[in-house]
Amino acid sequence: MTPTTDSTEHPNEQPAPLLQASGISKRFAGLMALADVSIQVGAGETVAVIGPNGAGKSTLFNCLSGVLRADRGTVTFDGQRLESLGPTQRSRLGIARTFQRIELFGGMTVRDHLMVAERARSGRGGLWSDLFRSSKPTEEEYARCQAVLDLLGLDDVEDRSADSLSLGKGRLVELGRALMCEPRLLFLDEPSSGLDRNETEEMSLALETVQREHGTAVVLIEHDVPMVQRLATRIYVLDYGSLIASGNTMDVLEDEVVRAAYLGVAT
Amino acid sequence: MRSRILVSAIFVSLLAAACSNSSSEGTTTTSAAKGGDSSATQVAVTAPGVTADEIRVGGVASTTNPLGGKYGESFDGVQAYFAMVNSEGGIYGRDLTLASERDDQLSNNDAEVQGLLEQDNVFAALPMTTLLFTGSDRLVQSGIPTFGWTINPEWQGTTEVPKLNLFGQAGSYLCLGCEQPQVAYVAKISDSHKIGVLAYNVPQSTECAEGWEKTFDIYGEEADAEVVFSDKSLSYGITDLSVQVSKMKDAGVDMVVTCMDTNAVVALGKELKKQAVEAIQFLPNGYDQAFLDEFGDLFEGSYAWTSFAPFETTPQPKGLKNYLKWMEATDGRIGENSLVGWLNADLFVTGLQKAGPNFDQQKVVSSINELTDYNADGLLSSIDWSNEHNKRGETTCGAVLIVKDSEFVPVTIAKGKPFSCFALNTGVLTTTAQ
Amino acid sequence: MVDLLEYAVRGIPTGCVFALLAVGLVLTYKTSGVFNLAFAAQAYTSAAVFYVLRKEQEWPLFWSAFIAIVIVGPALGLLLERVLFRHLRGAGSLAKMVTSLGLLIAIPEVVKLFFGSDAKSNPPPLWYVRRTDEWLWPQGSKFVLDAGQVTTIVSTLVVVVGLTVLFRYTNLGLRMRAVVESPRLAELNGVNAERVSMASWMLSSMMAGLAGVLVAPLFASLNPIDLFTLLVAALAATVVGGLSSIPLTFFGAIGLGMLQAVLAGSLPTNSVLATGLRPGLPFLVLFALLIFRPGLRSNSETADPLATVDPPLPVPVAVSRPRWMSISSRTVGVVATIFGLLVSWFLLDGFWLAIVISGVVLAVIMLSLTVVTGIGGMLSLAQAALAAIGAFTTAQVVTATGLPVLVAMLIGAAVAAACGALLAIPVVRLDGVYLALATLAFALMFESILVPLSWVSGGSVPLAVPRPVIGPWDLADDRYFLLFAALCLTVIALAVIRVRQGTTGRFLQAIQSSPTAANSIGISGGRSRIIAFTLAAGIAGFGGGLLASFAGRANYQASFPYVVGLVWVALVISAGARSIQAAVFSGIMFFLLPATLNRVFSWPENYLEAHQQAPEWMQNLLGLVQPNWALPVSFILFGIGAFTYAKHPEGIIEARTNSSVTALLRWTERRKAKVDASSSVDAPQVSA
Repeated sequence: MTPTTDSTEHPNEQPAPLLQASGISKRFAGLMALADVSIQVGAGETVAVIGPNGAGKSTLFNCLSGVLRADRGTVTFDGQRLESLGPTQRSRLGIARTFQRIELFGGMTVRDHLMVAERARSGRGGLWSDLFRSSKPTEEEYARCQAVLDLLGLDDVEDRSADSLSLGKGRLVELGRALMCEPRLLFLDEPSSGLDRNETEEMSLALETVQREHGTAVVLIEHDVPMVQRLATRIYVLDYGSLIASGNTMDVLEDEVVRAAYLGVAT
Repeated sequence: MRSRILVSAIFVSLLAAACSNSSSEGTTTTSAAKGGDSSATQVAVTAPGVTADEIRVGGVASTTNPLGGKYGESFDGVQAYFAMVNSEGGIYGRDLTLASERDDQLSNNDAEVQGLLEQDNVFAALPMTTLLFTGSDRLVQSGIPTFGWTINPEWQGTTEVPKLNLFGQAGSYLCLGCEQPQVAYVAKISDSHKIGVLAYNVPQSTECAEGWEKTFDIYGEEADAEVVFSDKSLSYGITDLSVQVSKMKDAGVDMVVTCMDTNAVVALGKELKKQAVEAIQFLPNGYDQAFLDEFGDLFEGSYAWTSFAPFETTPQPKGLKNYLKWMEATDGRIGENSLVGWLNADLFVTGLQKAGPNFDQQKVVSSINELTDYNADGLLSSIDWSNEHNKRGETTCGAVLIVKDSEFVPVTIAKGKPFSCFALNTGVLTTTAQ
Repeated sequence: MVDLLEYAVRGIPTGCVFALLAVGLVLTYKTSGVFNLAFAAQAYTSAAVFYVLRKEQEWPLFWSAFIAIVIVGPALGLLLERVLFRHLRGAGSLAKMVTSLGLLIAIPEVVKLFFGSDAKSNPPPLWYVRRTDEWLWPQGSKFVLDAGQVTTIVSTLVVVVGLTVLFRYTNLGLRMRAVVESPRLAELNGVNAERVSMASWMLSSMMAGLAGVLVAPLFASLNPIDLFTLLVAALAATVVGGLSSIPLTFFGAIGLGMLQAVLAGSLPTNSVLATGLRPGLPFLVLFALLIFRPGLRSNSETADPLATVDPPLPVPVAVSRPRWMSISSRTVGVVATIFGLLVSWFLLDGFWLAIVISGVVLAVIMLSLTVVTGIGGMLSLAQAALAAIGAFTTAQVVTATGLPVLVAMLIGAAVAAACGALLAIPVVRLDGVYLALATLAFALMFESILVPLSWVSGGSVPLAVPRPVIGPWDLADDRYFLLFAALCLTVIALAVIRVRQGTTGRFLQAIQSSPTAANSIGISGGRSRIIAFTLAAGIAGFGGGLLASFAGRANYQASFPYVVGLVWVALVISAGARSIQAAVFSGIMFFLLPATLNRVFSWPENYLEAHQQAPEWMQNLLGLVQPNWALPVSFILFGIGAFTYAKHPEGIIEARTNSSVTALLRWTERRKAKVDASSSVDAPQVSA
């Protein structure tokens, strides 16, 4: 039904960007949350979106991942227009995300979180196999799950209920859940917020590994400047719903306007 | 995918196997279920509930019901009748005892009937005054003599299942949807010519209204009355009939017949008054003085119909005198429900006496079914029980009453004879007094 | 055309009655976030008090009305707020609705215990006459109004204008809304949420009291069911106003009344269209509005933002329990089942056996609620109707084709599942209260349009359904039927467990717990919910067929009216929506409790009859107990069960199991700690 194909069949050799969003605008009851914002992300690239609180970063994520519908603008992913697609369909094309306010599934263990995401991706399992076959994970699913657990260092808590974990571990579970979807593009909404130094380090490490091993493109909303510097090659800066700067990480972080609008506030 | 097909194949073949078993004997069960199984034969051998000094009976009534109906009062009628019989030494040296008064709480009739049969050790089931008669199949199967109030279509037998052991207070054949010449008669004597028919869209109500329409198809010309307005699509719980009444007013309706509960009948009465429509109502089940005490002025000149001799009958027949006397003696509540209990007890005792000292359940049932002229000491018009279970008799009888100054006044053809009888199947409106 | 206009005008008084009730519902929803089905029960309470004072005690009109409407109404509201809804302020709209369902069931029975259960004939109007038609105005004209209609119209106008002003221009109205939308935020802004909430409940209960007193004289006698029937007919109007706009609700109600009258006047009477359309009209309109009214979904979010912070269901026991304990509790379950079956087989007589079998069969239908509500997270009020579809199909198939009844039951289940799927497709998009209302509308449409048709229900005498014969076992014997029913229940229960633990169950759990996160990994809420709804409908249909086969007939009035379905929902959800034990428990209790209480309450009477020489004080004391308390008391208990839902959304049974498991775990840990001093640790394993 969807013209998408497995990501492995398309090596990232084309120069055309993976995600191209142009002229995105969104208005909430008179308030302009996003005004004509355009961003693009190449395959395997990591970019950061920064800006003060209320600048419209999360709104941009919501518009790009399909939670919200933009009032104007176009979004193209891997050559396909996304505007009319909902979040579920966008996820199936290979877009995954995490949330600023952590969104875990109550009552499920860490392993369940990953397994649910795996099943949602593969489409395996359904009423029939629940009833007449085993719904237990297959060897292959188990292995895929284990790989992500190992990667994120979650294997010691795999059977704990996800609600009972610390915020840091919770963010890692969210990341793991997103990774199980084998995304080609990952939106991370403030992955380090609420984490301590060690956890932030763990998170950065995991992201680097993911990027190295899977070539996943990442879009990051982040306040932690060291983390941004470490991971992102390019930066977009939002303020009051408009793009005020974009470019290479180092260049943008030096920019006077940006420092005034954002870093001055943050530091 | 293959395993899925395999599983479905196994499932289907298992099902088929189960079916072949089931269908080969399925037909026998159905008939066995109707004809009486092992437990029924056990019942028939002994006479349960009969000891050296008493004959025990028990009944089920919808005592607890959300509509506030007084079904529980039917027990009072049975108690009073038994008190009368016992005061004269009982039957065959045995006292009659109403051993259980079960309450089916509206929807548990079947379970309570089962309890009656299995726990209470009773010889007969009476009274059975219940809103939903779900236990009827069980009673038919067991063959126990059963007496009650025919407000449920289940009392009625068919040619295949005659239900010979179910006895209503005045016959068992309800015949919803049949013509009822008494309505045409009432139209005639009240000088009504344009008839309106109202009913709910539920099966019992609709069928009943179709009976009214049929009546005027057959007898309309003779009674000089025709149905000019009919609405059988009312929803249960309707509170406003102004559109219907305004249409009836335009059509010149002067008599309305309904098959609805008191809520709708009262709403209709109020609306007729509001729109100043000079029309009377025919109330097939409105014989209740308490009802007239509240709403009598709305029904001035309207008619009611009862299958028994009304309490206002003069001179009082012997049966009515006994009823009033013993209800007072036993502190029972007088009314339609307790009279039904009384009539049930009377028919039971009549059958018991006719069956002879070696009575058993089967004998009581068959001796009642041999009664061709039963009238409960004048409380009923003559009933031919050899012909009352699964077909309609030659005539239909009952008492006609008119509402005057908020009271019921009997309308009789001949003095001293409370019942008006109408010949059926002749197509001619013939009335005789009884 | 003139005729149509005339009919429309005739519909206005009924429209005002609808408006009074609908505005009351919207008022309660706006100011408390509760879609309060118990509004009818509160109305009944005030109407009963008014009846007793005005008619039986012959008090003056003013004081009777004052006590009934201004004192009793708000007092009841205050009581409910303090005892129940105060604790529910942050709870989801479903918790509130289930609680109100419990109240709807319990309150009228309590009132009847006080005022007696006999019919209260001719409720007095709120005017200086004995009966509404004793004062007519304008007399002799084409459109005459009676005292009841005039008082209703005037009151409705006053209420609508008053409430509109209250919400638009006064501080109190603003605060009331603020407290519902976010109690915490309101408190931050210096609003005393406690006080405002109390005021809201008193106001809306007074409104219920007024409605009850005004509406009661429409009926020949006072009866809670009549009031609820009217309320249900008025539901469509509340949706017109999106559960928030009082003027829109008012116009919706008037429109509904006019439409009803116009159809009554203009459709050819007794045509198929009229018979089908007219009685079902309010429910058709309700259903259509829910499906087609634009913006309802987002509207429900803004009208009740708390619905999204519904407390997530607590960790299912199976997850956090050590394996040895799961196994032992499963063993206990199996042993208890076998023990129960043995007791039923050898010790129970026919009566109690039949009660138990009915309960086991009902438990199958209850399991359908476990699937749709417990696992699927949707409050379906249509399960009784779906069960009836299964029963009717079974009966019709057996009658028409003579197929074995077992096959017919499976066909019944399939037809019910198909109907469930058809219903689910438009309905699963809706949230919380709206979904519940849509399923209720379906049940009502089924009852008022389809059940009367003879090709559905078989006409005035319900269709016969035989008992199955499986090989050498003739299930006409109740003992064999019990085994069969228990087997069906076990198989279906195991299937439900597999679904709950399987992919479908996990997906649904994910959707309930965080819809956005579930969407973000590609789980579409619609599909999983449709599957759950369809499966539940199939189970209900099978249960319905089984019930018909056990009872011998597919009797709608006795087994499946929508009101009975509401009691089932309150019962099973308060016992535990997700748990199998709760479904079995509530199925059996539904029949066993009234029957048992009947025996208990009959005991004093029987005792006194047997012991005529008992001392007088004993006679007086025991004489107080009435056997016919059984049903009211059962219903009060069923209703009260629903109150616990707020505290234990996982259900009483589940909560008890949880707390005993925790206690047991703590005990074993303490013991182990002692033992550990000498031996090595056997780390508790966790089952997936």
